[in-house]
This record gives sequence, structure tokens and C-alpha cells, in this order.
Amino acid sequence: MEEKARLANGKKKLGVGRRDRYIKERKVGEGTYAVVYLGRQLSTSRVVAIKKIKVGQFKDGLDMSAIREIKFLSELRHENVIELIDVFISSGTSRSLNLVLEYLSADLEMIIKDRSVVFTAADIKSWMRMTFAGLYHCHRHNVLHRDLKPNNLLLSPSGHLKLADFGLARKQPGPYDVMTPTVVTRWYRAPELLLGSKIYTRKVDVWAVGIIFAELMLRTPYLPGQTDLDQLDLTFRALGTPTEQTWPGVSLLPDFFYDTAKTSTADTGKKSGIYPAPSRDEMRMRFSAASENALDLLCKMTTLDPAKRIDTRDALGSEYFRELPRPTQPDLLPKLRKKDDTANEVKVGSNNTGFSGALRRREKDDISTEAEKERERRLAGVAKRLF
Amino acid sequence: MAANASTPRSGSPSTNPQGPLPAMIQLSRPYLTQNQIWTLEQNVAHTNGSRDQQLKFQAFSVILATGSYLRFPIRTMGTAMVLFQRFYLFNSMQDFPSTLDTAHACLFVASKTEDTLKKLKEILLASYYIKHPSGPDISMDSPIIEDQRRRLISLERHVLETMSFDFRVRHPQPYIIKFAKRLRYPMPLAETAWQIALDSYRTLVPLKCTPHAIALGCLYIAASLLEVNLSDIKPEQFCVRPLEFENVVLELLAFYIDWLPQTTLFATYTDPSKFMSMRIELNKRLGKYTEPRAPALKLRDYTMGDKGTVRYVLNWERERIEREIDMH
Repeated sequence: MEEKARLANGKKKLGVGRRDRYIKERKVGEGTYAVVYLGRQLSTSRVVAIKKIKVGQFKDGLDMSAIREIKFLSELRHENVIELIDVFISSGTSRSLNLVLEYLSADLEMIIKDRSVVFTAADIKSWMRMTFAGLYHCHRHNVLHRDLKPNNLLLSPSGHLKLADFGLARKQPGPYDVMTPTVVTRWYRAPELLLGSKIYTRKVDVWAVGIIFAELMLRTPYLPGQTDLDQLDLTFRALGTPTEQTWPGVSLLPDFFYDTAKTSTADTGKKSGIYPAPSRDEMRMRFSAASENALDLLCKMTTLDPAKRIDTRDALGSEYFRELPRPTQPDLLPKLRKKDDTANEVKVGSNNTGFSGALRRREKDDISTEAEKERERRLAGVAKRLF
Repeated sequence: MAANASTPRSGSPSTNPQGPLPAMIQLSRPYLTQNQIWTLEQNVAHTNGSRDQQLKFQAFSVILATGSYLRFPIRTMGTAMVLFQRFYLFNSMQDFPSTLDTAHACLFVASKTEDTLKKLKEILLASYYIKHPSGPDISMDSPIIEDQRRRLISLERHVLETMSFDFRVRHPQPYIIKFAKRLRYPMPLAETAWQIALDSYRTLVPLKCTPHAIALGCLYIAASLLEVNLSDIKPEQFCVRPLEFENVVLELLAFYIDWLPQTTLFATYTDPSKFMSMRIELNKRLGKYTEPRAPALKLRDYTMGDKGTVRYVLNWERERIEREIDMH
């Protein structure tokens, strides 16, 4: 009890349940719709991230991503999915909505970027396995994540990888349900989304994981497009332009403008955006360290036609996860070299973006503005109908 | 400070804003028993039952009209209607007198939870145009809309708190299709059942029964209306408790008998006697229904947030919470 009093002394407390159970320690980051604090569960001294949703400033009430996060995380429980510990409304005049999330100190992007960290094929396999396990759990419960990127794959101090940021997640749609194609950070956006398809499946998540897989092997972003158009060009240059033969129905997609009747030589490729599919040797060159089975899996995950793309279940059962080397045990995985983050001295990332644990969003603004534009467009349509 | 956290707070919040606060755990209750609903209705102290029912139907027609104007799928309107009913079970009409505003707020929340997002202003504008089809055109920035928007933002919060931030959605329609296929019922029968399911949103059935029980109940009524063989419907085969199934059917029949002109089924079936005879038939072979015991509920205290922190939990987390409480 005394220890609790000491901890609580001078710090803002949040009363939950029978007694005050969490204290906010300090602000670690700010997103477009939330402020994230580092906190502690008083009864267990467990470090948590407290995400305080900004309310009242927006003209549309509670943010959709907060709703999505609560909706999906409160029902998903898995070793490889971030845990939503509590939802509560704090007292006082602001009466803000607080989400208590598991605190995770690092993300995969930091590991990839940190040149001093060396990792092996077994490490990559371990991360991939955990990503797929988490994603399989989501998909099995009909949840599409729609925003997978290294930055949203968080790592716990014990080395476990967890999917986070369900702000764009949604339920697997029913037939004829249209969705916006402007989801997923551009570099990880599947071709059907880039081509503007409003009907898509959980395979968009598989594509994103495929690109992350490639990024882990290359240690640099695989398809870093500057604009959406550039992204499309880059994707096709790397994996070939789809045709009606390789992807039935592709020419019916809204933004498909390629004239695939033309011969696809390297010459015309520059002008028309039509590229041949890479040969196996070309792929081997690109990923010199990858085993044949790893390449197989990568190719299946980055198949342009979503219908032919592998699903999470088959991916988990693929040869790649069965061959040697075995995936590294989570606690033996490489970690960022930094101070201990279990005790009082919690150090969060040294990069200048400030916060690096749960809920850092790099390209989020990008997406929200695009979503905003999409909304504006629809709104204009409605207004036209109205007047 | 933390030491006396478990003792009740004596001072007012203004004198001791940082002080220890009483426990407030808001358990999400996706389903209520009939007894719970009765106690809640008594608490609300409805002075005039049929007037309230009229207001409810008015609100439903606003939700349906606005929703179809914005081309929402039916599930969004359905969720909004269920939310609306839940709202006025846990909140009294005196505290929230404008049912129209509440209807808008429920539709707005439903559009968010059902992933059919629209801006609040779009919803309000659509509602305005339905109300004033020939009236003066207003722009999106008009003060009327702006005024309403402000009211709705705070109302949205109340709706969210009433639903305990439980965004799980349940609709009987998918089960209707699946069950109809399994029973090899013809298409028109499934369509009638579908319409009955739409009417079920206007009753308290979605608050009391699980969607697959509702689906089976809808199919049963549709089959009796079309005089198709009913003997195939065996609740046990569809994992539905017989009592729950009978409850759904009786409740829906009662609704049709009392309010037939207000329903979607009225377009094809204008004679309530058909529903009457169905009810009589069913009552003959009905067992005695005993309610499961459940704690009585109180009205939501919407000033709760001023008094302390409120924690929202889903029902299945209950065990964990109770364990935590025991720990202290």
C-alpha cells in the first residue's frame, strides 16, 4: 500500500475498478486522434500504454479508428495480437475515453532500420511465423487488418511480435459490400487496391506481409513508391504487368489502363508501363540469401491476382516453415540495443519522432487525407443529388 | 492518497478532483431478460405507453427514411433502431426529450459501427430534406445544421456509453438465408422471413434473443403465413433453445397483432386475424416459460462521468473482473 502511495504521489491517477489501478507517467506520443501515455498498472506494476482519445475537437464525434480499435481488439485475444486491457472513461470535465493497451517498446521497422542489428534467416522466419500466426487469428475471426507494415508489427521485450493498430481494420465484408480502396500504407498496398478495386478480400493483408517479408530480407523497403501511380509502376516493374491471362478480370478494374495487347519488351515497357514477369533467376538474384522455399512462399504471397495469392493458413503450412533452420525462439531474437525498459526508467526509442511504441504512425496522415478526399468526393456526389 | 481509495468518497468532486473515486464498472449487457426490461420500464416511469410507442415509431420512420436516402444497408438502420430502443430503456424521456435527435445520433453511431461511415452533416442534411421536401434549400454550413450537429456530438457520447462501447453486431439475416437453404424453403418464403426480420428491429426481440433464434422465429412465422409444412422446424436442430424460439415467435406475433399497420408486412398481409390464430395455436402447446434469474437493472446515471472513472467491460470479461475484485 505504501508503495502504491509513493508511486501515485504527484502523478495523475486514473481510478478504475475498486481502486486506482493505473497511473499515467508521461506523454510519449501524439497521433491525429489520440495522445499516448506511458502508464503503469498499480497492482502489478505492469507497464502499459494509455491511449487517450481526443474527443470534442472533431466535427464528427468519436473517431472511427477508435471505434474500430475497441471493436476488434476487445474480442481478439492472441499471443501475436496486441492486447486491449481496458476501456474506460476518466473522470473530470474532459471525460475522455481511454484505451489501456499492452505496452510494447519496439517495432519491426526500428529493427530493420538499425544497421547495428544483425539478423539471420532463422530470425526472419521467426518474425514471419509470428506475423502469420497473428494474422491467421484475425482472418479466422473475419477481421481484415488493412494497415500492415513493419511499423505496426510491435515487439515485446520478450521478443514476441504483435500486430497492432487496428484503426483501419474492418470485418470481412459480405458479398457486394463496397469498401474504400485507399487503405494500407502505400508501399504495402496490394495491386488490386492500387487499381482501385472496391471489392477485395483478406488477401490484401497477405500481400502486405509478403512485402514485409521481402523488406526483412533486403533490409530496405521493397517497393517504395513516391505516389500511387509510381507505386503501381514499381509493383509491375518488379513483378510484371498483369494480363487477362495471368489475372482474369484485371482489365475490368477501375484504374486499369494498360494496353496489354502490346508486346511486352523492355523497350516498350518504359512507355506503356508493361513489364514482363520476373524469371526465377531474377528473383534469386534479387533475394540472394533466400532459400528456394522462402522464394516460393514470397512469390505466392506477392502473386498479383488475389484469387491465386496464398492465404494465411496455407502460408503457415508451407515448406518454408518446415525446413531448417528452425525459427528462432522469441526470447533469443535480436533486439535493439537500449536501456532496460522493465524498471522505472522506461526509455522509449531514441529517434526524433518521439514515440515508438504502440501507435506511432508515420504515413497515417497520408492515409487520412486520402480517405478525407474520398469522403469529400462522395460528399460532393451527395450534395449534387440533394440540390 | 491511494491508501483510502477503497473508502467511499465524501467530498464533492470540485473540492477534491484528484481524490480517490468509487468503483464504477459498466458491464456490457448485450441481452436482457424480460424481467430486466420490465424493471427498467418501471424506472423510466412511462406516463403514457402508447404515446411513447408512437414516438418510437416516428423515430423509426426517421431512421428508415434517412437511412434509405443515404443508401445505408438495412443492417445499419436495424442497428440504429435497436440502439434507439436500448437508449430509451436505460435513459428516460425526461432527460432526453428529443427523440428525433436521439434517432439521428443512433443512426450516426450505427453508421460507424457498421462500417458505412457518413459525415454527421450529411445525415442531418438528408434528414432535413426528407422533412422539408419542398422547403428552402440549406447549405451544409447553415446554422440549423451546425446547431444540431453540436447537440448530436454530445448525444453520441450518451449513446456510446449506453451501449457500453460494445460494438459487436448481430443480425438475423445471414441465419435466415442459411436456415432457409437447409430447410429447402422456397425463395418467396425466405423473402417473407427477411421482411419479418426487418420488423423484428422494431420490437425488443433483438435485445432479448440471439440472432439465430430470431431467424428461426421469422422463418416459422413466414412458413405459417404461406402455409408451408412447419414440422421441419425443430429448434434443437438449429442450436436454438425451444423456449427462446417460442418467445421470439410470440413476441413477434404480439407485435403484428397490435401494430400491423406500422409494419413492413402490412403491404401483403393486412388481416391481423391470421396472426391471432397463429398465436392461439401456439399457446395451446406451450410450456411454462421461466425466466433465467438475472440482476435487476437501474437506469443509466448519465452524470456518472462527473463522479468518477467508468470502466467498460464486455460480458465475457466478467470473470476476470470478479477475480480482480476478490483479490482486493
